[in-house]
Amino acid sequence: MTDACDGNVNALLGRLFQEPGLLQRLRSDREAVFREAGLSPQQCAALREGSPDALARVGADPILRMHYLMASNPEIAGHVTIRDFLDDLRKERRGG
Amino acid sequence: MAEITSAAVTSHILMSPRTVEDQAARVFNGMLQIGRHLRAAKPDVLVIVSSDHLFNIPLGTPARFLIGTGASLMPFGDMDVPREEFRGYPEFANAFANFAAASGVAIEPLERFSPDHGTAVPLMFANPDHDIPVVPVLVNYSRDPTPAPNECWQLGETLARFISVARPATERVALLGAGGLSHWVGYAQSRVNEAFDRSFLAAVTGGELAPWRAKSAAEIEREAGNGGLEIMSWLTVLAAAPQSRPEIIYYEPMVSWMTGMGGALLHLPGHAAQ
Repeated sequence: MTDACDGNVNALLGRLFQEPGLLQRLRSDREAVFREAGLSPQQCAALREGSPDALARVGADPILRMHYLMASNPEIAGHVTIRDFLDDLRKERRGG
Repeated sequence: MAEITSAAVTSHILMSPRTVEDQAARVFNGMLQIGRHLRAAKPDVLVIVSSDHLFNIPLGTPARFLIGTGASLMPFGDMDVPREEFRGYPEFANAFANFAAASGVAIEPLERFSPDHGTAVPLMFANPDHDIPVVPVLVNYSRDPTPAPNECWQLGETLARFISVARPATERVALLGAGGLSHWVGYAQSRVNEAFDRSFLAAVTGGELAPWRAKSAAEIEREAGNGGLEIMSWLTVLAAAPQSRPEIIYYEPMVSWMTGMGGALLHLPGHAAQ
Protein backbone atom coordinates (compact mmCIF):
# COMPACT_ATOMS: atom_id res chain seq x y z
CA MET A 1 0.00 0.00 0.00
CA THR A 2 1.34 3.44 -0.83
CA ASP A 3 1.16 6.47 1.39
CA ALA A 4 -1.59 8.96 0.61
CA CYS A 5 1.05 11.70 0.36
CA ASP A 6 3.38 9.80 -1.99
CA GLY A 7 3.54 12.85 -4.26
CA ASN A 8 5.69 14.51 -1.62
CA VAL A 9 8.25 11.72 -1.85
CA ASN A 10 8.57 11.93 -5.63
CA ALA A 11 8.68 15.73 -5.47
CA LEU A 12 11.56 15.59 -3.00
CA LEU A 13 13.48 12.87 -4.85
CA GLY A 14 12.98 14.72 -8.13
CA ARG A 15 14.63 17.81 -6.62
CA LEU A 16 17.67 16.02 -5.19
CA PHE A 17 19.87 16.48 -8.23
CA GLN A 18 18.24 19.71 -9.39
CA GLU A 19 18.28 22.02 -6.42
CA PRO A 20 21.71 23.33 -5.50
CA GLY A 21 22.71 22.31 -2.00
CA LEU A 22 19.83 19.92 -1.38
CA LEU A 23 21.95 16.79 -1.77
CA GLN A 24 24.47 18.09 0.73
CA ARG A 25 21.70 19.02 3.16
CA LEU A 26 20.20 15.56 2.83
CA ARG A 27 23.52 14.09 3.87
CA SER A 28 24.15 16.53 6.70
CA ASP A 29 20.63 17.02 8.12
CA ARG A 30 18.18 14.70 6.46
CA GLU A 31 15.50 15.08 9.14
CA ALA A 32 15.25 18.79 8.38
CA VAL A 33 14.98 18.02 4.67
CA PHE A 34 12.23 15.48 5.33
CA ARG A 35 10.37 17.95 7.53
CA GLU A 36 10.56 20.76 5.00
CA ALA A 37 9.30 18.39 2.29
CA GLY A 38 6.20 17.67 4.36
CA LEU A 39 6.80 13.94 4.55
CA SER A 40 4.61 11.76 6.72
CA PRO A 41 6.13 9.58 9.48
CA GLN A 42 5.79 6.51 7.21
CA GLN A 43 7.57 8.29 4.40
CA CYS A 44 10.36 9.45 6.68
CA ALA A 45 10.80 5.89 7.96
CA ALA A 46 10.98 4.55 4.42
CA LEU A 47 13.61 7.07 3.41
CA ARG A 48 15.62 6.36 6.54
CA GLU A 49 15.55 2.66 5.67
CA GLY A 50 16.50 3.58 2.12
CA SER A 51 15.93 0.22 0.43
CA PRO A 52 14.15 -0.06 -2.94
CA ASP A 53 11.32 -2.01 -1.29
CA ALA A 54 10.85 0.60 1.43
CA LEU A 55 10.84 3.39 -1.14
CA ALA A 56 8.37 1.46 -3.28
CA ARG A 57 6.03 1.12 -0.31
CA VAL A 58 5.66 4.90 -0.12
CA GLY A 59 5.12 5.26 -3.85
CA ALA A 60 8.55 6.42 -5.00
CA ASP A 61 9.01 6.18 -8.76
CA PRO A 62 11.54 3.43 -9.64
CA ILE A 63 13.96 5.78 -11.40
CA LEU A 64 13.77 8.24 -8.51
CA ARG A 65 14.43 5.37 -6.11
CA MET A 66 17.69 4.94 -7.98
CA HIS A 67 18.42 8.67 -7.58
CA TYR A 68 17.92 8.30 -3.84
CA LEU A 69 20.08 5.20 -3.62
CA MET A 70 22.84 7.02 -5.50
CA ALA A 71 22.48 10.00 -3.18
CA SER A 72 22.30 8.14 0.10
CA ASN A 73 24.34 4.96 -0.34
CA PRO A 74 28.06 5.50 -1.04
CA GLU A 75 28.51 1.83 -1.92
CA ILE A 76 25.98 2.09 -4.74
CA ALA A 77 27.37 5.43 -5.91
CA GLY A 78 30.82 3.81 -6.02
CA HIS A 79 29.51 0.96 -8.15
CA VAL A 80 27.25 2.85 -10.56
CA THR A 81 29.97 4.98 -12.09
CA ILE A 82 31.97 5.11 -15.31
CA ARG A 83 35.13 6.44 -13.66
CA ASP A 84 37.12 3.21 -14.13
CA PHE A 85 36.84 3.70 -17.91
CA LEU A 86 37.68 7.38 -18.18
CA ASP A 87 41.42 6.97 -18.81
CA ASP A 88 40.83 4.50 -21.64
CA LEU A 89 38.09 6.69 -23.11
CA ARG A 90 40.47 9.65 -23.22
CA LYS A 91 42.78 7.54 -25.39
CA GLU A 92 40.07 7.51 -28.06
CA ARG A 93 40.60 11.20 -28.61
CA ARG A 94 42.84 12.41 -31.41
CA GLY A 95 46.25 12.60 -29.85
CA GLY A 96 44.89 10.83 -26.78
CA MET B 1 18.97 14.17 -50.46
CA ALA B 2 21.16 13.76 -47.43
CA GLU B 3 22.38 10.33 -46.51
CA ILE B 4 22.58 8.08 -43.48
CA THR B 5 26.21 7.02 -43.65
CA SER B 6 26.54 4.97 -40.47
CA ALA B 7 24.22 3.57 -37.84
CA ALA B 8 24.45 1.50 -34.69
CA VAL B 9 22.64 0.57 -31.49
CA THR B 10 24.08 -0.02 -28.03
CA SER B 11 23.44 -0.15 -24.32
CA HIS B 12 24.22 3.17 -22.67
CA ILE B 13 25.79 2.45 -19.31
CA LEU B 14 29.02 1.29 -17.73
CA MET B 15 29.63 0.43 -14.10
CA SER B 16 32.47 -0.74 -11.92
CA PRO B 17 34.37 -3.59 -13.59
CA ARG B 18 35.40 -5.07 -10.24
CA THR B 19 34.64 -8.83 -10.14
CA VAL B 20 33.45 -8.78 -13.79
CA GLU B 21 36.65 -7.64 -15.48
CA ASP B 22 36.43 -9.92 -18.53
CA GLN B 23 32.79 -9.15 -19.27
CA ALA B 24 33.38 -5.44 -18.74
CA ALA B 25 36.33 -5.50 -21.13
CA ARG B 26 34.25 -7.17 -23.83
CA VAL B 27 31.50 -4.60 -23.39
CA PHE B 28 33.92 -1.70 -23.40
CA ASN B 29 35.73 -2.96 -26.50
CA GLY B 30 32.39 -3.49 -28.24
CA MET B 31 31.34 0.06 -27.47
CA LEU B 32 34.70 1.31 -28.73
CA GLN B 33 34.17 -0.57 -32.00
CA ILE B 34 30.71 0.89 -32.40
CA GLY B 35 31.97 4.41 -31.74
CA ARG B 36 34.80 4.07 -34.23
CA HIS B 37 32.43 2.71 -36.87
CA LEU B 38 30.08 5.66 -36.51
CA ARG B 39 32.71 8.34 -36.80
CA ALA B 40 34.75 6.58 -39.51
CA ALA B 41 31.96 7.57 -41.92
CA LYS B 42 32.84 11.22 -41.18
CA PRO B 43 29.33 12.35 -40.27
CA ASP B 44 28.29 15.99 -40.30
CA VAL B 45 25.74 15.28 -37.59
CA LEU B 46 25.11 12.51 -35.07
CA VAL B 47 21.49 11.83 -34.15
CA ILE B 48 21.25 9.84 -30.93
CA VAL B 49 17.97 8.31 -29.78
CA SER B 50 18.05 7.58 -26.06
CA SER B 51 16.26 8.52 -22.87
CA ASP B 52 16.52 10.82 -19.88
CA HIS B 53 16.39 9.35 -16.39
CA LEU B 54 14.40 12.15 -14.77
CA PHE B 55 17.38 14.50 -14.64
CA ASN B 56 15.94 16.81 -17.31
CA ILE B 57 12.41 15.66 -17.95
CA PRO B 58 10.27 15.75 -14.79
CA LEU B 59 7.96 12.92 -13.82
CA GLY B 60 4.55 13.48 -15.38
CA THR B 61 5.81 15.20 -18.52
CA PRO B 62 3.20 14.29 -21.13
CA ALA B 63 5.40 14.41 -24.26
CA ARG B 64 6.15 11.05 -25.87
CA PHE B 65 9.25 12.31 -27.62
CA LEU B 66 11.54 15.27 -26.98
CA ILE B 67 14.50 16.72 -28.81
CA GLY B 68 17.42 18.78 -27.58
CA THR B 69 17.48 21.95 -29.65
CA GLY B 70 20.21 23.87 -27.86
CA ALA B 71 23.59 24.80 -29.33
CA SER B 72 25.34 23.49 -26.23
CA LEU B 73 24.87 20.10 -24.61
CA MET B 74 26.67 20.06 -21.27
CA PRO B 75 26.48 16.61 -19.66
CA PHE B 76 24.54 16.47 -16.40
CA GLY B 77 27.44 14.67 -14.77
CA ASP B 78 25.67 11.70 -13.21
CA MET B 79 27.74 8.53 -12.87
CA ASP B 80 30.86 10.71 -12.97
CA VAL B 81 30.45 11.55 -16.66
CA PRO B 82 32.83 14.49 -17.26
CA ARG B 83 31.07 17.80 -17.72
CA GLU B 84 32.64 18.50 -21.10
CA GLU B 85 30.32 20.15 -23.59
CA PHE B 86 29.07 18.53 -26.79
CA ARG B 87 27.93 20.75 -29.64
CA GLY B 88 24.24 20.74 -30.46
CA TYR B 89 22.72 21.41 -33.86
CA PRO B 90 19.69 23.69 -33.36
CA GLU B 91 18.88 24.08 -37.04
CA PHE B 92 18.68 20.32 -37.64
CA ALA B 93 16.83 19.66 -34.39
CA ASN B 94 14.20 22.36 -34.90
CA ALA B 95 13.72 21.42 -38.54
CA PHE B 96 13.18 17.78 -37.57
CA ALA B 97 10.68 18.69 -34.86
CA ASN B 98 8.74 20.78 -37.38
CA PHE B 99 8.92 18.10 -40.08
CA ALA B 100 7.76 15.44 -37.63
CA ALA B 101 4.86 17.62 -36.45
CA ALA B 102 3.75 18.04 -40.05
CA SER B 103 3.96 14.25 -40.39
CA GLY B 104 1.77 13.69 -37.34
CA VAL B 105 4.57 12.83 -34.90
CA ALA B 106 4.83 15.28 -32.00
CA ILE B 107 8.33 15.94 -30.68
CA GLU B 108 8.68 18.54 -27.94
CA PRO B 109 11.69 20.86 -28.30
CA LEU B 110 13.93 21.03 -25.26
CA GLU B 111 16.07 24.16 -25.46
CA ARG B 112 18.01 23.34 -22.30
CA PHE B 113 19.12 19.75 -22.12
CA SER B 114 22.00 18.38 -20.05
CA PRO B 115 22.57 14.83 -21.31
CA ASP B 116 22.62 12.27 -18.53
CA HIS B 117 24.47 8.97 -18.88
CA GLY B 118 21.85 7.68 -21.33
CA THR B 119 23.02 10.11 -23.98
CA ALA B 120 26.46 11.16 -22.74
CA VAL B 121 28.05 7.71 -22.30
CA PRO B 122 27.41 6.59 -25.90
CA LEU B 123 28.61 10.00 -27.08
CA MET B 124 31.90 9.52 -25.27
CA PHE B 125 32.52 6.55 -27.59
CA ALA B 126 30.98 7.94 -30.77
CA ASN B 127 32.16 11.52 -30.43
CA PRO B 128 35.27 11.47 -28.20
CA ASP B 129 36.64 14.71 -29.64
CA HIS B 130 33.28 16.43 -29.14
CA ASP B 131 33.56 17.81 -32.67
CA ILE B 132 30.50 16.26 -34.34
CA PRO B 133 27.28 18.24 -33.85
CA VAL B 134 24.76 16.17 -31.91
CA VAL B 135 20.98 15.98 -32.09
CA PRO B 136 19.59 14.18 -29.03
CA VAL B 137 16.16 12.60 -29.45
CA LEU B 138 14.56 11.31 -26.27
CA VAL B 139 11.87 8.70 -25.79
CA ASN B 140 9.97 9.50 -22.60
CA TYR B 141 9.82 6.11 -20.88
CA SER B 142 8.68 7.71 -17.62
CA ARG B 143 5.45 8.77 -19.23
CA ASP B 144 2.32 6.81 -18.33
CA PRO B 145 1.49 5.20 -20.66
CA THR B 146 4.92 4.78 -22.18
CA PRO B 147 5.18 5.33 -25.94
CA ALA B 148 4.44 2.10 -27.80
CA PRO B 149 7.03 0.26 -29.91
CA ASN B 150 5.08 1.05 -33.04
CA GLU B 151 5.09 4.77 -32.21
CA CYS B 152 8.87 4.61 -31.93
CA TRP B 153 9.01 2.78 -35.24
CA GLN B 154 7.00 5.61 -36.83
CA LEU B 155 9.40 8.11 -35.27
CA GLY B 156 12.30 6.30 -36.92
CA GLU B 157 10.57 6.18 -40.29
CA THR B 158 9.86 9.90 -39.98
CA LEU B 159 13.50 10.59 -39.19
CA ALA B 160 14.61 8.67 -42.29
CA ARG B 161 12.14 10.61 -44.47
CA PHE B 162 13.32 13.89 -42.99
CA ILE B 163 16.95 13.07 -43.80
CA SER B 164 15.98 11.90 -47.26
CA VAL B 165 13.77 14.78 -48.37
CA ALA B 166 14.50 17.78 -46.18
CA ARG B 167 18.24 17.90 -45.58
CA PRO B 168 21.00 19.29 -47.81
CA ALA B 169 22.26 16.82 -50.41
CA THR B 170 25.79 16.67 -49.09
CA GLU B 171 24.90 16.13 -45.44
CA ARG B 172 26.18 12.91 -43.86
CA VAL B 173 24.16 11.62 -40.92
CA ALA B 174 25.14 9.06 -38.29
CA LEU B 175 22.42 7.39 -36.21
CA LEU B 176 22.82 5.82 -32.80
CA GLY B 177 20.07 4.14 -30.77
CA ALA B 178 21.00 3.81 -27.09
CA GLY B 179 19.59 1.91 -24.14
CA GLY B 180 18.57 -1.54 -22.92
CA LEU B 181 18.74 -4.42 -22.84
CA SER B 182 16.67 -6.07 -20.06
CA HIS B 183 17.00 -4.39 -16.67
CA TRP B 184 14.95 -3.46 -13.67
CA VAL B 185 15.87 -0.01 -12.37
CA GLY B 186 15.02 0.80 -8.75
CA TYR B 187 14.15 -2.71 -7.62
CA ALA B 188 15.81 -4.73 -4.87
CA GLN B 189 16.67 -7.76 -6.96
CA SER B 190 19.31 -7.44 -9.66
CA ARG B 191 17.95 -9.32 -12.68
CA VAL B 192 18.70 -9.84 -16.34
CA ASN B 193 16.37 -11.72 -18.69
CA GLU B 194 18.97 -13.27 -20.95
CA ALA B 195 16.39 -15.24 -22.95
CA PHE B 196 14.53 -12.03 -23.73
CA ASP B 197 17.74 -10.25 -24.73
CA ARG B 198 18.89 -13.05 -27.00
CA SER B 199 15.46 -13.31 -28.59
CA PHE B 200 15.47 -9.60 -29.34
CA LEU B 201 19.02 -9.69 -30.72
CA ALA B 202 18.07 -12.63 -32.96
CA ALA B 203 15.10 -10.64 -34.28
CA VAL B 204 17.38 -7.66 -34.93
CA THR B 205 19.88 -9.69 -36.95
CA GLY B 206 17.14 -11.70 -38.66
CA GLY B 207 15.18 -8.61 -39.66
CA GLU B 208 12.11 -10.09 -37.98
CA LEU B 209 10.98 -7.05 -36.09
CA ALA B 210 7.27 -6.99 -36.96
CA PRO B 211 6.32 -8.97 -33.81
CA TRP B 212 8.39 -6.57 -31.71
CA ARG B 213 6.71 -3.54 -33.25
CA ALA B 214 3.37 -5.11 -32.40
CA LYS B 215 4.17 -5.61 -28.72
CA SER B 216 2.79 -3.25 -26.12
CA ALA B 217 5.14 -1.36 -23.85
CA ALA B 218 3.55 -3.16 -20.90
CA GLU B 219 4.46 -6.49 -22.46
CA ILE B 220 8.10 -5.44 -22.86
CA GLU B 221 8.22 -4.09 -19.32
CA ARG B 222 6.79 -7.33 -17.95
CA GLU B 223 9.49 -9.39 -19.66
CA ALA B 224 12.46 -7.04 -19.59
CA GLY B 225 11.83 -4.57 -16.81
CA ASN B 226 11.31 -0.83 -16.83
CA GLY B 227 14.82 -0.41 -18.26
CA GLY B 228 14.07 -2.95 -20.95
CA LEU B 229 11.66 -0.45 -22.44
CA GLU B 230 14.76 1.25 -23.81
CA ILE B 231 14.94 -1.30 -26.62
CA MET B 232 12.48 1.07 -28.28
CA SER B 233 15.43 3.40 -28.89
CA TRP B 234 16.90 0.54 -30.92
CA LEU B 235 13.62 0.05 -32.80
CA THR B 236 13.57 3.75 -33.67
CA VAL B 237 16.99 3.59 -35.33
CA LEU B 238 16.28 0.23 -36.95
CA ALA B 239 13.16 1.77 -38.50
CA ALA B 240 15.26 4.63 -39.85
CA ALA B 241 17.68 2.19 -41.50
CA PRO B 242 15.45 -0.60 -42.81
CA GLN B 243 17.92 -1.72 -45.49
CA SER B 244 20.73 -2.20 -43.00
CA ARG B 245 22.39 -5.51 -42.15
CA PRO B 246 22.72 -5.66 -38.37
CA GLU B 247 25.75 -7.35 -36.85
CA ILE B 248 25.83 -8.02 -33.13
CA ILE B 249 29.14 -6.74 -31.74
CA TYR B 250 28.73 -7.65 -28.10
CA TYR B 251 26.29 -9.15 -25.65
CA GLU B 252 26.87 -9.81 -21.98
CA PRO B 253 24.21 -10.61 -19.35
CA MET B 254 25.72 -8.51 -16.56
CA VAL B 255 23.82 -9.19 -13.38
CA SER B 256 26.26 -7.17 -11.28
CA TRP B 257 25.55 -4.18 -13.55
CA MET B 258 21.83 -4.96 -13.25
CA THR B 259 21.44 -5.12 -17.03
CA GLY B 260 21.86 -7.06 -20.22
CA MET B 261 24.47 -5.20 -22.25
CA GLY B 262 24.38 -5.36 -26.04
CA GLY B 263 25.35 -3.51 -29.16
CA ALA B 264 25.18 -3.87 -32.93
CA LEU B 265 26.42 -2.20 -36.06
CA LEU B 266 23.83 -1.58 -38.75
CA HIS B 267 25.79 -2.01 -41.98
CA LEU B 268 24.30 0.15 -44.71
CA PRO B 269 24.19 -0.69 -48.41
CA GLY B 270 26.92 1.16 -50.28
CA HIS B 271 28.95 1.80 -47.15
CA ALA B 272 31.85 -0.54 -46.53
CA ALA B 273 32.09 -2.19 -43.14
CA GLN B 274 34.55 -0.34 -40.95
